[in-house]
Amino acid sequence: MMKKKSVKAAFYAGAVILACFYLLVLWWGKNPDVGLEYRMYYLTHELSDWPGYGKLSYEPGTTEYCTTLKDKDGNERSINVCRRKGKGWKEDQYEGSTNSGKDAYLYYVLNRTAENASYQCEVTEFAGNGRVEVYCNDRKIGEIQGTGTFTFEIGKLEEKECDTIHFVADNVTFCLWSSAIL
Amino acid sequence: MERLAKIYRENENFRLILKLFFILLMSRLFMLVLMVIYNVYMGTDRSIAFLMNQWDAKRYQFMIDNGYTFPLDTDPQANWAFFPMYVMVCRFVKMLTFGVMDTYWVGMTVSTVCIFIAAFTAVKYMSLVRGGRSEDYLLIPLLMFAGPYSFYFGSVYTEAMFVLFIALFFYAAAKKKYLWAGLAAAFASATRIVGCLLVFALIVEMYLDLTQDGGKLITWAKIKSFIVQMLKLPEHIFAVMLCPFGAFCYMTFLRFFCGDVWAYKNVQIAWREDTYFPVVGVLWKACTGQIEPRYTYMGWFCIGIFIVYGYMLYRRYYSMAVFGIISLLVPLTSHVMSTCRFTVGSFVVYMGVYEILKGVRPKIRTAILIFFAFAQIWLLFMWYNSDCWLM
Repeated sequence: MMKKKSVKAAFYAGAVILACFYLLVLWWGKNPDVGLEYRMYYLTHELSDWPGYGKLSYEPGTTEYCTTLKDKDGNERSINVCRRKGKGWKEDQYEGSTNSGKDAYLYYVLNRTAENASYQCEVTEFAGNGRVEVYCNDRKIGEIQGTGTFTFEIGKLEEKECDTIHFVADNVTFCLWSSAIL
Repeated sequence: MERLAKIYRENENFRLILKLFFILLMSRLFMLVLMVIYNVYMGTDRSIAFLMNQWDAKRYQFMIDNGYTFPLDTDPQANWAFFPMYVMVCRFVKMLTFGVMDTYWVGMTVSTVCIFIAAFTAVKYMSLVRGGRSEDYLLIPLLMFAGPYSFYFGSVYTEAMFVLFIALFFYAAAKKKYLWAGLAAAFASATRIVGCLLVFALIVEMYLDLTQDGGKLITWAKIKSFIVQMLKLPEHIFAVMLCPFGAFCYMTFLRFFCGDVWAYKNVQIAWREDTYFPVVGVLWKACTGQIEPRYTYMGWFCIGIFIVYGYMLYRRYYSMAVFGIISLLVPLTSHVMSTCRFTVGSFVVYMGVYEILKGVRPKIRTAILIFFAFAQIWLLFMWYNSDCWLM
């Protein structure tokens, strides 16, 4: 009788231990211990391309090209390919990245603080009668109204912070070829 | 020799094992002959290991040799989506051969052993719940070894091992050995995430066991009585709690490996970008041909399987049908892709198909079996040819 009781107690205890273990794992699930790139690509889906661990980091002055890692023939490109694109870009990106809707995003994590940063981009295609407003961290820094190379003053950007370049296209389709924070 | 003959006459299990072995051997010889025909017809010289192991089999092969890895900068499809049980067993078997045996052959051997034991368990299960001799149910192993899509059970895929644990689960549950059933479910959940869903099958089995009185199946009074009785049965509670243990162990591993316990789910974004309304939307898009033709086929295949599960409910295979339905609903929350594989890998469909075959006239049964044989030949050719319909 005594033995039966202790076996019963052991099963209750086992069930409680398992429940605690499951709760701990679920709590870990609620609080993932992951890097920025992982979070933005796998969890929040803010990034449309997987850049690789730590690859959102950016050395100011580096020009990146908004195309695919391989060309149409499957050959590796020898240029710096921009892998920091967020939502709002079409999939076919061989000749630059075209916006797929109103909002399109790029994300940068600067390696060092830039005191007087500016954003430079080259637009190779521009269709529509409207314009594209460019924002950095929700602050408007300029407008794009055609093709060409544009430079917009940003001001100070702190290191290790995720900075967002946000394009707001008003009835416009544009193709971004290169992008840089200077 | 005389002694063997005596054992054969007197020992039902020995007889069953020999018969199963014969069916398995014939099915594998059949696959082999088709490989030769394939190579001659296509003008290729591909090996058995190459032809048998398509698509994800290559990923499993990589994982057996290298374990879990981080995603490359150029490829976000990390192998965390694949559960570890099968990989661990294959790795262990490969270790036993001092790493000499080819990984594909290790995987194929493990899969074949698993499906053999699973078929044996399935027959014993049927003989237990339906009565009669084990040999009366040889149609089930025939379907499992040589039926449509059975090639998954011979290749480096988790399906055979998953089927084994499910078969063991239902056999233990039928014998009312719930702890063993919980343990089998725990191993199943370490093989594939839907193994966790066996918890529902276990609860159904326990409910039927604790409330059987010949009256209505579900009443509030019965549900209340079931809950009260369960709380007084710690062994039952522990068995239920044990079911998802394997999956949670893997999630713990992922926490320390990549920091995200849901990584196996979150990594799916790297495979798919199209999103549909779960189940209804997915089936509607697939069945009405709004995606690709292969998905139209898979959509209608799923509808057919739901009908089979409905028939299983009618034939009182309650726990199996519940498991089958939920385990098909889970992938349908996102896509119909791979649902044919998931269906044969859920094991329970074989019981439903068996009951249907038993329920029809012999001529129709023969016609269906001939159709299955031709379907399997066709599917095997597609499999050897890496056809994306079988992804």
